[in-house]
Amino acid sequence: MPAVKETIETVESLAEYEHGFITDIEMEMAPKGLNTDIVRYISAKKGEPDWMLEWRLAAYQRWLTMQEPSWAMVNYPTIDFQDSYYYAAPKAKVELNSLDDLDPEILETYKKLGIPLREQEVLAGVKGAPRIAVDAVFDSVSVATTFREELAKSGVIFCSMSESIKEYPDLVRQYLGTVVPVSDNFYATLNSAVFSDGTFVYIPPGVRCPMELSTYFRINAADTGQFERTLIIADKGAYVSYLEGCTAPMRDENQLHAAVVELVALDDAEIKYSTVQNWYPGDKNGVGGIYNFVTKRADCRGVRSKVSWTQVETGSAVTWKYPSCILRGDESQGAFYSIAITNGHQQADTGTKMIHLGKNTRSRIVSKGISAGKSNNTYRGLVSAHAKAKGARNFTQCDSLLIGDQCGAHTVPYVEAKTPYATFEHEATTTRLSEDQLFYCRQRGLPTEDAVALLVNGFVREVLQELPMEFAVEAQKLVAISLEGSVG
Amino acid sequence: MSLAELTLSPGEAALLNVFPPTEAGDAARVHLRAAGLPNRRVEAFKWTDLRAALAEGIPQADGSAGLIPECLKDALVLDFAPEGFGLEGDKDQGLIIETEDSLELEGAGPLAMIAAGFAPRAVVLRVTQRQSRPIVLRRHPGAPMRIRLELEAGTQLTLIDTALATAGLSTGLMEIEIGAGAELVRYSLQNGDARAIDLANAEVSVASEGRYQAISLMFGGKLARAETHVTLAGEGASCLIQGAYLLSGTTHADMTTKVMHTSPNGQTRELFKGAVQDRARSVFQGKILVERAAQKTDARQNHHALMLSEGAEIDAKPELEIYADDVQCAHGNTIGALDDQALFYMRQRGIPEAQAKSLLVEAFVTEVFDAIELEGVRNWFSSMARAWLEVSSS
Repeated sequence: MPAVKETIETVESLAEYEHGFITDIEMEMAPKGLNTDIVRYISAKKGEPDWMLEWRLAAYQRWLTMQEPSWAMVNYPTIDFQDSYYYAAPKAKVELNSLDDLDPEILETYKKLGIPLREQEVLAGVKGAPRIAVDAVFDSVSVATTFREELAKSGVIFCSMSESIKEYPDLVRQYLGTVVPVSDNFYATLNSAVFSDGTFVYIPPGVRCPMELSTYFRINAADTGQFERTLIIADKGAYVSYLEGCTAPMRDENQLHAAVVELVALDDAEIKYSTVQNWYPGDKNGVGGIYNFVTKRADCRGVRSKVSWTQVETGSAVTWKYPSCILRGDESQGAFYSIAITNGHQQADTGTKMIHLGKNTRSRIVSKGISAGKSNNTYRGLVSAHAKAKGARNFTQCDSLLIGDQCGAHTVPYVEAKTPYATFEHEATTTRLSEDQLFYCRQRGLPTEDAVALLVNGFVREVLQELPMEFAVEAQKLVAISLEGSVG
Repeated sequence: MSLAELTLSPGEAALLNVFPPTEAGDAARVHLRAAGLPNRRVEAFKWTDLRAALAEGIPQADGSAGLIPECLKDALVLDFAPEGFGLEGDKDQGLIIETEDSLELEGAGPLAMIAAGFAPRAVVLRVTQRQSRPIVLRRHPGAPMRIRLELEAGTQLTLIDTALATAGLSTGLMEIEIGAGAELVRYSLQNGDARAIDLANAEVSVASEGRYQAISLMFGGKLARAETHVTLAGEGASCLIQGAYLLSGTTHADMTTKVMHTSPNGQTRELFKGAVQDRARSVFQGKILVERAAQKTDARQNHHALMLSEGAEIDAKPELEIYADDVQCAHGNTIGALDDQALFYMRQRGIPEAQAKSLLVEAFVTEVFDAIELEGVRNWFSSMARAWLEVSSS
């Protein structure tokens, strides 16, 4: 029976993080530490124009004056920002036109990562493969982009950030840093100074992106902080669905990840952004693991624009992440669906901000937090309505589930209402796994772990339904795997 | 003058001179010199900026201590005046009242520290037998109050405290210890105007099977903050904290509560309801913390607010921090305008709009008073609320 076999395999793999391995490929690195020279080096390496370099340097100067935020409910040893590499790139092999040019080790890595077969097929250019465009970020530089041509036919730009700076400087200058300003917060400012690469997407007016866009992030070289920068622009009436998935190899030292994601939705545009995050959470004793300090924000600039964030957060030692929506356009809509699972010694402080500025703006927040082991899981969210946001409406639901008696679940919602014509509703509950339901399942012959997985999947179903098909199946498995070893 | 003092605001500098030369006064001075007054950059005060409210120094005290309503004529009155502390009425058996010059302050926040610093001495109340006669704490404008209240096991007391200064800075600190199976019932009324700054603190600890019950009504002030910290330290301890607020003009009222469950089988019920209009601002910050040992905790927290006009602001932060798994914890928070359909229904039946509005708000807010057992106090609070509605809807 395949199901049983799968369970055995899962349990066997428990002792080790599934994606815990290091690929040995040649790396080109800047020296450790951060100063103006490093910023210049990064910019020069990428052959950036002067305006970009100035932008970076201004951000760096600003960063020097800022302090690391401490309000989140997370504890970690002080990060020495001078003890990290800020640039690592696989040694360039000239231009990569076809898959043959790709480093065979990278291909091998994809295999180990379990990048779904169909996506490997996509990479291999197999005929009839599903139409998902993958822009793989291997450490800091995009090494393979597929389906570019087909996308180009409909006018969609889907490329790496460095390319976009060279090829579409006007677009980049118009939008970069307008959603998350350079001075936004400590990590966003750091990212602005040293961002290595990322994804740039532009959907022209009235175009419905013909396929789901997807990026795999991968942190690889030892001690390399990864500073992704993503910018997605959906012009008037455009639609795009973007998938982001992450895995990282096992390592003892903590790794810093400070990404910035900016989404811009103009009139009638819609962006659907889905994330499955499964970075290395540290070993059984909480050693190692990724520090994930991400700034994600969407600006619903146009009327009737729509952005929805869906995230499944199962990895990282420390997560600090608040994908937000600025509902600027009248009748714009924002949604945030989240599953955050923490196990072992993981800490997650995650949530969203819904900032209602326009009339009749609507937002919806559904957050499901699951804590197991010795972990701490915090939902922190803000819903605010400006005086002009007449008819604003928000519904927030945060449910927390505790598995075991050594973990913590916290809810910290902030609500600020400055207009009487807004309606805000917030509900939160915290409970543990129902003994009755567990007993019922076990009585019918389900092993405890399967029963837990089943019940938890039921608990998070509302959010799973929001994921695109490709992710939903994967995410469901991830939920089960993340909770292995949490009971019994 | 040290460098730190040069950066003090006029309010902070004025406060430094006002603290009496007591131990608590010195401690408050040291704290203020180091940290300054709480301001919006401090997370717990992000919506209640005390430094800004005191930017022009300490406002002159004005107003009266207020009349004690008919229903409380039998009560024992503890009078806090600028000249000192006095007693009115008969004292029952089983109640010991003393004053203490230097009472240590245990692990309190900045507001409690300031309040302790102001009070030249603390009044210590010890309850050794059940008290049938309520105690009224009457505060004169500008008079600081510090009380330490100890309820021995199995005793019961009803306490009514009022802060009615129309102007000036009023500070109150109550340290309350509720013994096993004992119960404290507390009704508070706060009413100021745009010149009054009121800082009220309660530090409550409840032993096993003990109960703390507090119901309040606030009309706000230039800045009014009622901060309550409750520790349910004993098994089966419980608390009920309810509050209503009605704010108009440019008033501000902040209700901050923190309930810590440290033992099993505790129960918390919190309900805050209010209405805000004109340019007034209400703040609700409620935190429930459940420690690992506090299994089988049952905690509910609710805040519901009505915004009656443009320009008003309601800020809320209902917070849960939970480390135990076998618990039931929930919170709810809603903010919105009056229901148009309900209003339409009433007007359709011939009720003038203003009256319909005030009836709806009254029905909404006075739910909080249902838990008041003393009928006289219930009527008193309800009539205060009604009077506000009549003024504000006319």
